[in-house]
Amino acid sequence: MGGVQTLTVDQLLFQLGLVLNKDAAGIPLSNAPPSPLPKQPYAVTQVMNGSRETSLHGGAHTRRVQVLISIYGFTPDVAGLQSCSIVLAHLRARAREVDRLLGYPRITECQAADESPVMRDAATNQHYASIRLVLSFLQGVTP
Amino acid sequence: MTWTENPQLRPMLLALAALAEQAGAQEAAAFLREKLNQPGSGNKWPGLPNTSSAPGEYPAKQSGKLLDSIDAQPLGQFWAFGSFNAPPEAWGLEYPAPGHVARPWLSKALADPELRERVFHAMWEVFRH
Repeated sequence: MGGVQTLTVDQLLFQLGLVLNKDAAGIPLSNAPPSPLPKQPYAVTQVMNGSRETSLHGGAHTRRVQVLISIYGFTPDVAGLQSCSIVLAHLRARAREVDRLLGYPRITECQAADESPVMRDAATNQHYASIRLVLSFLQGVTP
Repeated sequence: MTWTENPQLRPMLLALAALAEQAGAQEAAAFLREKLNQPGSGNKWPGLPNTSSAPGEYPAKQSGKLLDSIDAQPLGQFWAFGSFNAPPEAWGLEYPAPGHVARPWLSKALADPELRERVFHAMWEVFRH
């Protein structure tokens, strides 16, 4: 609740034990799968900032950005299916704690939107799932 | 002297609302058909007929299966639009398989201000006449 505690999407994924891609400086850059691919579960995010819906709230424009989070690399057995659905449930439940997104000012709200069921990919033999977060941010106010 | 409700008013409004809902759903389906019927501005892969979409765009038309499945139909007491009897790529574009990048087409359309504008206009045209 307010304060200085902040949480980005990448931090939330890291806290759930997912491996993220990192750039040369070691900073998480999760818009691509980590290379080489780890044995543990990993996450890839995709920010959809092309679609913007504007509404006026007290002089500031509220815009929305969608973040698609895909979690991969769960084993093809029952344990992988269950741990994938558990991580998905944690992401859904903790989505509202997110209040920062790299490059965006003033995240006011983060809601979990649609999600896929846990699916199994036959080619790479793993379980995977996706969830979409919708982040509202203010634009047009001085920080 | 008492006020009595016009018995014709409620059915008239409900009929008009149903017409507006149908017009909005059909306009949304037309919007999706228009967006999914064009080539993208990304890579040109061998074996695919059209240029693929770049990240952030609507998916480009390749086989046309997703395009053919876009429709607006009455579903119960509501009108629904989207992909009916959806091909697997409709799902795979929304939720990417390992090694793939998503091209969200339905969630992108739902947040698209152009779609909202066009649906509002179509419904307003029904109410205006």
